[in-house]
Amino acid sequence: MISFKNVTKIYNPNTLALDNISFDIKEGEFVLIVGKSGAGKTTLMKLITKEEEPTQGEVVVNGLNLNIADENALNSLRRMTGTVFQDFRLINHKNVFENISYSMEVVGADDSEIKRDVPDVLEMVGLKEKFHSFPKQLSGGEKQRVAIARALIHRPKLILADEPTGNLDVYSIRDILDALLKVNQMGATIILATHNQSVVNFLQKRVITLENGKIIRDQEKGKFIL
Amino acid sequence: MLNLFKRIFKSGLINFKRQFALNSATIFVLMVGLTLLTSAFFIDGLYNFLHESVQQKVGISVYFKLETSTDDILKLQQELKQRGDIKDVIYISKEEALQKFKDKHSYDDSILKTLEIIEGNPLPSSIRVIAKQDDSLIPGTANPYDEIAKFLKQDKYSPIIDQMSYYETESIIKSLINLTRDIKFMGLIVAIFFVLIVILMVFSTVRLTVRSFKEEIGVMKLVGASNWFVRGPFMVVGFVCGILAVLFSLILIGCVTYFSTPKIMAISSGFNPFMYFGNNFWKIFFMQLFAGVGIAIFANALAVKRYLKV
Repeated sequence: MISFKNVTKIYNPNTLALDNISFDIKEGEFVLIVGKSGAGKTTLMKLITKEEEPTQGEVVVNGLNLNIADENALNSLRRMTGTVFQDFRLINHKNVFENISYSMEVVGADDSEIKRDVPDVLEMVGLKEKFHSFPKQLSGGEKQRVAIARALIHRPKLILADEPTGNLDVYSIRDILDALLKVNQMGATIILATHNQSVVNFLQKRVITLENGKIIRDQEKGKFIL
Repeated sequence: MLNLFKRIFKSGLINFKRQFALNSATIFVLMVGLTLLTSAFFIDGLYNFLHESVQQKVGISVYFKLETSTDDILKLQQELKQRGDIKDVIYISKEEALQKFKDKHSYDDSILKTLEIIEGNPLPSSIRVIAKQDDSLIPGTANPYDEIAKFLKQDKYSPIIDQMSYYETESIIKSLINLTRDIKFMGLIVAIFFVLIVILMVFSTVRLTVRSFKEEIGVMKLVGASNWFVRGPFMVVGFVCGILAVLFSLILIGCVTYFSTPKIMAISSGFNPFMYFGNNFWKIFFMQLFAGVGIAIFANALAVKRYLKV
């Protein structure tokens, strides 16, 4: 599903974010990317959606080499991906309903599907009462839940979640992780970047540990190791 | 596809409503720009009015010797009409000239009495030659009256022509022609200048507005929206801004022309801007619509384009 081949990413002028990393992720896998702040987790996630381009090496997602992907192929890839951004990245001039339904509109869902699915996913993330609220009227945790709902609503084949539990309370974290596990069981590939020890230990999934831009561990059913 | 257009249009209308403060700046700038652009159209109207007035005043009056026969005059009239540069040749007989003279001096008894003393008609027949409209924009190009005067000055006409008024009023005619040419030339320069100003003002305002959506455009692209799906609602906002700017501009122009008409008529020898606005309403409306909506849509599309590379 995803293949990193000798990928290096250097931000100008001389910040090395990823240093010659290679790994493969199979379809349907649930992979955790862990590491300290600045280890390169977010950069790795950005390379998968081509928000950033590698300085060296190549990233292949679902058979598509992102170095040579054209606009249409990239749009298709992004439509089959659900992304939870670390900084939420909600559309400020759209309300909660519109933010979530936008992902469905982009993939060409019918109005009837949107009206049926958006309330369901909002209920799942506990925001049914915030239907018409705008992002600036939400707390950090609420924004995060909207971002999660937006990433899940169109049933993507690939979910990228960058610190999706960073602003959530313990109960909400459990709900979100359960939802991700359920989606994974239904066949979606999930990559979750976190530095939350309890999340890693709870999930008992493959863990790739980054340090200073290098992969220092890649364990099946790994644990958080300090 | 229909669903896609519906979503783009709906999203654009919602964005317009929610970002009304930002969009009202675009509407204002566009309205000012369109009003300036239309003022160039009014300058052109003023030019045409003055040019016509001047043309009605200029012309060569040819006075014939008293003994010249009507046949000779009509023959010359025909020869002149066959020239390509002549719009009209008006024949004024001795009798008509006398009647006009009497009408003009009807209040002056001494002149009328003098006419009675003279007995008979002392006034000559004449023709008034009017050249075709001169559309040349560049001052200093050939004056059609010089050529006509040269034609009439030929030896073969000297036995019948007594005098020509052209030489007496030549400098006035030339300066009037040059003045109207200058006005048109200036109008053209002003129009080009206004068009550039309008484009620059609208593009700058729209660019600033769209810039505030830079991050959101990036998010739209990252969730897989196509360039048109991102760009579309901004273009709809441009469309609505353009329509409203046209409406406000037309209302403004209507009010300004209505209240300024008496003064403008006084200083321009009769040019009525309000009537000109009314007569050319649809022309102005479609010109504004084409320019206003076109520029606003294009400016939005262009401003969004630079943020689409995510």
